[in-house]
Amino acid sequence: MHVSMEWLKEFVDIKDIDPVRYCDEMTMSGSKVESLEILGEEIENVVVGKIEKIESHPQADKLVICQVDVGKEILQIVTGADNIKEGDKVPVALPGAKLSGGLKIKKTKLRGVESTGMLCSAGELGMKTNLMPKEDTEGIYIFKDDYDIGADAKPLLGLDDIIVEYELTANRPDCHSIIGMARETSATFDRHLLIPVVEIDDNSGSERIEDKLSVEILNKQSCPRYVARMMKVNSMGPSPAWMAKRLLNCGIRPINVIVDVTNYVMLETGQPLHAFDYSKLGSDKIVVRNALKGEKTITLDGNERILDDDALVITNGEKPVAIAGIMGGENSEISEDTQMIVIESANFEKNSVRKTTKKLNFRTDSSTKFEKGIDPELAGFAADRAAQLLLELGACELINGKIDAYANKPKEKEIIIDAKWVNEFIGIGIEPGQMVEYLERLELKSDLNGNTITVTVPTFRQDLEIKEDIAEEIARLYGYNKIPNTVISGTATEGGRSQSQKFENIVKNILVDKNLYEILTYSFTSKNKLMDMNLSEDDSLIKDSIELINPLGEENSLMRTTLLPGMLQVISHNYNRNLPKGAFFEIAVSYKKTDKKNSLPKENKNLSIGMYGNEDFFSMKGIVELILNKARIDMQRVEYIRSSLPLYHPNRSAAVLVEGEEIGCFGEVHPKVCKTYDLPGKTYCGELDFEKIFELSDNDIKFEELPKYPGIQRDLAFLAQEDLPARKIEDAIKSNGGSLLKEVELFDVYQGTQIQSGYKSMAYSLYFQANDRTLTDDEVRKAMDKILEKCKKELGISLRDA
Amino acid sequence: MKEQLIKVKETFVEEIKKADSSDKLEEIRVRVSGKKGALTMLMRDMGKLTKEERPAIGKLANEVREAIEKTMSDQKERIIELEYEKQFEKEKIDITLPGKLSEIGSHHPLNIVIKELSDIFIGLGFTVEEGPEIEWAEYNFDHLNIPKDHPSRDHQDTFYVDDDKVLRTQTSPIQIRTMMKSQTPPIRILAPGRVYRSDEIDATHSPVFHQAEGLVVDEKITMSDLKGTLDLFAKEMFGHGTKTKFRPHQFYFTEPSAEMDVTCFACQGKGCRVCQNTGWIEILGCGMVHPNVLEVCGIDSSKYSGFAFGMGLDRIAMIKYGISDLRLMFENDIRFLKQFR
Ligand SMILES: [Zn+2]
Repeated sequence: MHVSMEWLKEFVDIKDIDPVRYCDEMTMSGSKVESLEILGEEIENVVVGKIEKIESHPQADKLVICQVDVGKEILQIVTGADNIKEGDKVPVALPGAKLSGGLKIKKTKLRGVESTGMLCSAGELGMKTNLMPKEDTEGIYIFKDDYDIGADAKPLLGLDDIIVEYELTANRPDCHSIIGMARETSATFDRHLLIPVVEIDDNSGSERIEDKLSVEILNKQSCPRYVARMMKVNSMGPSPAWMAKRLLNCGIRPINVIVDVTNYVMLETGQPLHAFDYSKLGSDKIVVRNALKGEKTITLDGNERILDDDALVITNGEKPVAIAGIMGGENSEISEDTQMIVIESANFEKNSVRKTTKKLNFRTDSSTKFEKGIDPELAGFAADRAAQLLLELGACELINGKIDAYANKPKEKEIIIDAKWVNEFIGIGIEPGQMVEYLERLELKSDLNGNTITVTVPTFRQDLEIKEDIAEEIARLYGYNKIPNTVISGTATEGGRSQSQKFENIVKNILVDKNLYEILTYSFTSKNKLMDMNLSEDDSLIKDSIELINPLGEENSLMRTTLLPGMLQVISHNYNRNLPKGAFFEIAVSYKKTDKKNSLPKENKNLSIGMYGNEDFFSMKGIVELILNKARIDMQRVEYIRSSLPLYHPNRSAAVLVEGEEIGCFGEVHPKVCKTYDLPGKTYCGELDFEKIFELSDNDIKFEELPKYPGIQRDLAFLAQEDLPARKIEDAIKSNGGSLLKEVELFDVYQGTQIQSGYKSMAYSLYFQANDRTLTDDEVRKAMDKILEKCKKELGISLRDA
Repeated sequence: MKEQLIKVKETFVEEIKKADSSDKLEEIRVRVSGKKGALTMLMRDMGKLTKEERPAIGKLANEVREAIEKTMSDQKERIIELEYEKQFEKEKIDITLPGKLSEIGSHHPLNIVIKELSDIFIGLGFTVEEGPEIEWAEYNFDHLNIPKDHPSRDHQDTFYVDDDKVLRTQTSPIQIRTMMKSQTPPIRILAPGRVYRSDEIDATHSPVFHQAEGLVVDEKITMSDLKGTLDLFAKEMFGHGTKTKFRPHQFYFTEPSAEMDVTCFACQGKGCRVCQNTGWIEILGCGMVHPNVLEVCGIDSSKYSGFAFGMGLDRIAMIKYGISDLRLMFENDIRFLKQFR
């Protein structure tokens, strides 16, 4: 919302308030100022000059020499413009003047002829040329009114104005007008609000509206009120300069006096108006009804609009002459030879207008206002205000009376508040009388009785409904920043993170310490990205995915069932920027369908890990083990089996099982997937169910006494078949070691020239200990013998050097 | 005898002082006080002395022994030092070579902000709450007092899974869930999380972004408590010199409502590009919880009041670290990430 301060000052006297202070205080009272534009700020020393004489230039065909009267003197000015004639009054930049863009005017010689000053175009003066008619923007600007020679040109061109742009909230449609903002200004600065007095003598004309027009509303829900006035047109010329310049400064193109007045009243009051050509109406009635499904009409902009049956139209009883609140029809458009007009000042319900603008994908200044919601009370005032202006400007003559179809006049609400409650709620201590004063400044009639204030809410404040709304009105005029800052009183609360949130932070910290980068990827994926992971169409990761009704493109059409597509894209991004290595992790949610009716999809927190560059399967497994260790999940409970996920290299991937339950998979990415995702050859990734890991985790630490008796360490190396899994050997050692065997550690795996092919050497370090005595060599030897014997029997392996 | 003792002393003290290794010293010790050492031999001869001679010579002999032993032990220490020096000379290294400690990764800047923020509010007695990202439209809109016809419900603003379920557009549904779950205040929660709006990706917009919302409900919670709490937060988060400014605003789930600005932390309020020369940066929206919202959650609004606030975390991270483009946050380029170590 752009507000001309020059215009606003007509309704509230704030001449003494500096614009910057004005903007600050308006923002602090609730009308946020977005920008402040001082028009003509750069322009200096431009006056009204009269061209006395024009002569041709002796040296140049395209230049002329003008003698210009600027009041105190006659200046000789050379110009290239060809749109001027003797007697024209034009803006003249005197020597020393400043123009738009920082241009400075000096006395100079043009092709040997002295030129003292410059005749200016609208553009050179920084006027809004995009909204002005061509004849005013091409060549030198020529004043239409007879201004005094030598007068300062800036105010005459509307360049003495300040434009304040407000960012208004949706609950305050009443602020979308000059009068609305004047009301807020008056309340903020405690200055009197001067609303124009509009009185039309409805006996002054010679004809009556009732003889010419009737109005019928068939959908009173969507059109609560319809006011019509009629006028006879005297002249359809341009509007006066003062009006045109206010329209321009508020961003509206002046057209002719009738259109300009309807726009002017809309800006001033917030009520959109429309003027029909009475003779083109083709009937003597206006019927407001819903459109027929597929009904067509051509709007003023020349476009054909096809309507739905929930669109509201203004008709002449047969066919539409306007789409209600949006735009008039071409068939009833006023033109230069219009004799009589109908001024429509109607109220259309916001949702009805919004639905239609959305369906037509077509918004206008008028529809924007209606969509915010307009007080129906405004319609009568606005119709009279337009009539008053047209009469004052001599553009029209009155046709007596107005039609006012007004079915449900809104009632004024009453809200009762307790001043003591307001003080307690806001945390302040002001007198009830002071509260009443704030409310009255906002035109909220308030009656004080003891501590009770009865507030009568005017119809233009549809946003005020409950006592908290009134508390806000008091607080904002008191000043939010004058409210003290206090700490929360009352019951103490025990804040903090949950156990799982703490565990999440612990895992993140440990991964960061291990040189992994935490990443953040989008929650969206697509069927293609999932298929590119070498998944088949009936894979549960695809079948269980949730589709969005309105995604941003196919590539974002599914909610991810796995974090891995995002992880692989991050690896690809970095790899393709010649970064030789990287390791990443993300803890985030995956989403899956559930069969349960009336329930939300299953969201599960997962941990994804990815790495490339100098890594192998065991770097990846090391990270997995680190996390399980940190979760204090005993390695005895963990098992690694071949993963069946086709994303991975079949022989270099594993599923992790804890007590038989799968908690995730990891491994080397399948070469096919490396190709589709553009990944380096050796890329490793994995995804674990973070919630399950947390459930399985054990953070119950209990101290165990340190052993009192020394233990004994023994090393042994088995010669084992190449494809015998290490886990089997370890299990065999452990299960046969007896209670004295405390630790088993694999410290070397060797395959090579020293041993026969098809075999590997597996070297273990075993640690024996008893809690109640010092072990003897004999006891340990017996345990070792049993291990060797059983390993030979169960696995067919024996000592390497035996 | 006397002369012999003095001779032994002079010879060996001299020789000990010249010894340059523990081996040499040991060899000298054997020659002085070994079984056949010079001093041992002389002492053995003491028996042959007269009774008169004995005390004086005995005294001298002791002095000689002590002097030799003293010299010996001094020289021993000197030699140990010397040997260390030799060893150290051999073990010289280039201490400017890089250390062996492995490299370290980094937390994502957004999560750094979430952690800092959470820590501040935990200190004020808040718990950290989470909730579903695919949420009932009813929780995301209706219960938050958002009108049925509000444009934010449109398909062009909100992602829908079906007619009833949306990708939450704010973390406020967590507040609703918390209030519904525990209808007996006090409630103090912070709900950080991922939210969605149907915006195309550019330097300042993303369909996926992050918010943190807070909620306090108890008896006699006032707007001045809201101001005090958030002012405290701002000083913790952005530095102790930070000032706050509250401007009236409008939200559906709060009444009265406000927006909070903080003094620009790039220029300390002097005005710069970051704050568009205003000296202030808009940080969050807040207000007193609307009684309709309390009632819908089963909390008696005549007994309890509360305040709520919400802020965009991506924006805070961007301003805090001077990140120029929101897309960098989701691109995860190592060169970006490693700056947050
Ligand atoms: Zn700044």
